Amino acid sequence: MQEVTIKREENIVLKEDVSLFLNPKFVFLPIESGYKVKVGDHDYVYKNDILAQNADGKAVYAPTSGKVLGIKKMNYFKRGTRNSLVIENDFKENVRVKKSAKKHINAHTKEEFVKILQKSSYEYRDLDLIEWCKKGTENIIVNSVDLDPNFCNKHCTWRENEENILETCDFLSEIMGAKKIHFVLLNTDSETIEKLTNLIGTYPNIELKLVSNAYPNGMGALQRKLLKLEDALVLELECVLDVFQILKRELPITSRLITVTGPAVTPNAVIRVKLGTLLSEVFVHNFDFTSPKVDVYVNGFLYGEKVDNLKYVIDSNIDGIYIKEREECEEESCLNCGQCSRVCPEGLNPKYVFDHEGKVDATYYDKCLQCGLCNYVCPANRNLKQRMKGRDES
Amino acid sequence: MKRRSLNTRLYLMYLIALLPLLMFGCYKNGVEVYMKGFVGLYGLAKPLLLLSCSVLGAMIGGILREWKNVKKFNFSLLDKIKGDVVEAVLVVAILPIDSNPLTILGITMAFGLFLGKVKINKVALLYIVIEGLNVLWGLNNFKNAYEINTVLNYNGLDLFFGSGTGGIFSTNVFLILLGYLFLSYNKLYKKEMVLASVATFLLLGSIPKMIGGQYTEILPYIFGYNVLFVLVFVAPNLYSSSYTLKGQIVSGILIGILCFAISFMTSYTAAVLAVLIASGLKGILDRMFVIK
Repeated sequence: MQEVTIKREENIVLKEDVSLFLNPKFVFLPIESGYKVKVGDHDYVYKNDILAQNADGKAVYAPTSGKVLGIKKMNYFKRGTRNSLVIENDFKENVRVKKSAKKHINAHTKEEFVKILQKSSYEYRDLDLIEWCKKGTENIIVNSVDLDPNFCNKHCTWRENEENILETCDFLSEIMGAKKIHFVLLNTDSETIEKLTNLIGTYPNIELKLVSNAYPNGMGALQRKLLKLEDALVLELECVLDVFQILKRELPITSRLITVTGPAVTPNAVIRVKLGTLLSEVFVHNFDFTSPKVDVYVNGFLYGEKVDNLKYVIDSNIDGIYIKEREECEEESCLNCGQCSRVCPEGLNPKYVFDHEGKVDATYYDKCLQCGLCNYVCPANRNLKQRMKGRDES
Repeated sequence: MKRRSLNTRLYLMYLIALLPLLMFGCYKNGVEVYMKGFVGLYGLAKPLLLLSCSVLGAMIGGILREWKNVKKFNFSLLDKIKGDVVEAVLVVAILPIDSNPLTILGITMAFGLFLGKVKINKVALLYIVIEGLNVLWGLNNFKNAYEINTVLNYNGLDLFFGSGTGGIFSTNVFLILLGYLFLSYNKLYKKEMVLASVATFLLLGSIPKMIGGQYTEILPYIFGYNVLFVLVFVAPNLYSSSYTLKGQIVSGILIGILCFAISFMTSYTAAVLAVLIASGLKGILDRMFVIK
């Protein structure tokens, strides 16, 4: 495999500090099938109130206080349209009972931790943390590398919560019986490497693992392969911090960091937003487009997907937005250059799939990481990534 | 962020890499022969005339082919025929100086018009057709008038700097190697395939000569007769060569072996035939290395 280094674009200057947008006018909370809504239209809800619950006890919590307006169909990135409960924010952040934070998180036992996680109904993409807790693991990989070279979520997460993250890692290794925690960093990130080297002295089971600044080394699934730890649990850095917050306050997670960047947006910033906020509202209040016609990519230019509008509700599937000036580019016929197969981190052959649609074994598609590197290197502008999604979707 | 014009850049790089070879060919087969008094003004201009006919034929053929899609003369039309132009330059580079300009004009035009999207190596195919007609009409002498009338007694260095016999623009080994290094900067250029083919041919070509103790014959054998030029410029054609890395290397080795084997029968056409056969097998090679 040929390594491809994609540097952060020179004209993009990210703001140093994390911006905040925690006061949206409306929040939208997806109500999956099997959930029973526990509030009625026009009811007043407090922050962290249970709004809906399923038979297993998983709950949907209110990320803010306000008035319930009803159910509306909303778009979610990668999840499609979902019925969502709409809450009109009263900007008071009222809570029923004020809870004090725990002093030390490592006082919890495994059973208590599982119980707290269940109660918080914490979800991070496909990760089933409770299941991992139950079965245990020998190795934990903490991914501290932002997948998109223009994103900065992990760097900001780390910078503001160094001690907390390490404390949580230590706690998780104890709970899961892990012998080692592998902290994956870019070998070019000298600032974080230096800080972490100084801090991990008191955590003997935490080990630094440096990976080259090549795309897509920030992808957890690939890190398992790079570190030759196929059975390891991969935790994103944000997820570790979420666990810390849950343990500290025993409250559900209500916000997350996203990066908004690209040559056609100003300012370029990492922003903390409330879960359930509409992306368009974040933009109206915080960002301006620098061009009348733009292309919007959710989760970055390479890994992400181009979307037609910003009417998406922010959930854990959204890491950031990349915006660039619209470019009209036609797909040309294949040049037979073979670049796509040379750069594929899984050694797949996107050109073959493109040329032999319908004749490729379905399991072949499953191996694709959807990193988008084939699209990036293709000189004929072919959308190979889309084809690698599988026959049905293409 | 996205790299768009790599292929346009590759074609441009091809033309830049070929330019010194074209100039040297014009000098060797035109100016020098004219100055020695072996040819007249027609002979002086012939290399350039053959080149012009080839390019003109390819452009007319290409424009006629693409006209139904574009329907106006603009940059996009020129963009679509850039490959035809480079191929026209490449084919004339390996043809004998004896060639008939009108044959070249007609054949390149016909190829441009009817065989624009042929899947095997177009340059090699063009060469075979034109050279076939040359043979029919008795015009396939690769030596220019000066070389015919002079005792060829070149040393290795002379051959390295282009005094060997071969196509009109294909004899200068030094410039071909410079061209290879230059093209290697473009990601689309299949440099591994070239290396594999040249190394295989060098190895196979050297053994019998060394066994026979004919060390002095190695250089003209390896570098003469269009071989190096064809392996560097014609074989790694984007469309007609293997696209997987393993396929390219195997294909390069195959070309080296075939070239060596065919060169016992015909020297000047050996490399071209080897490339043509390998390009015909590229589908099989790619399929062999495609699925894990």
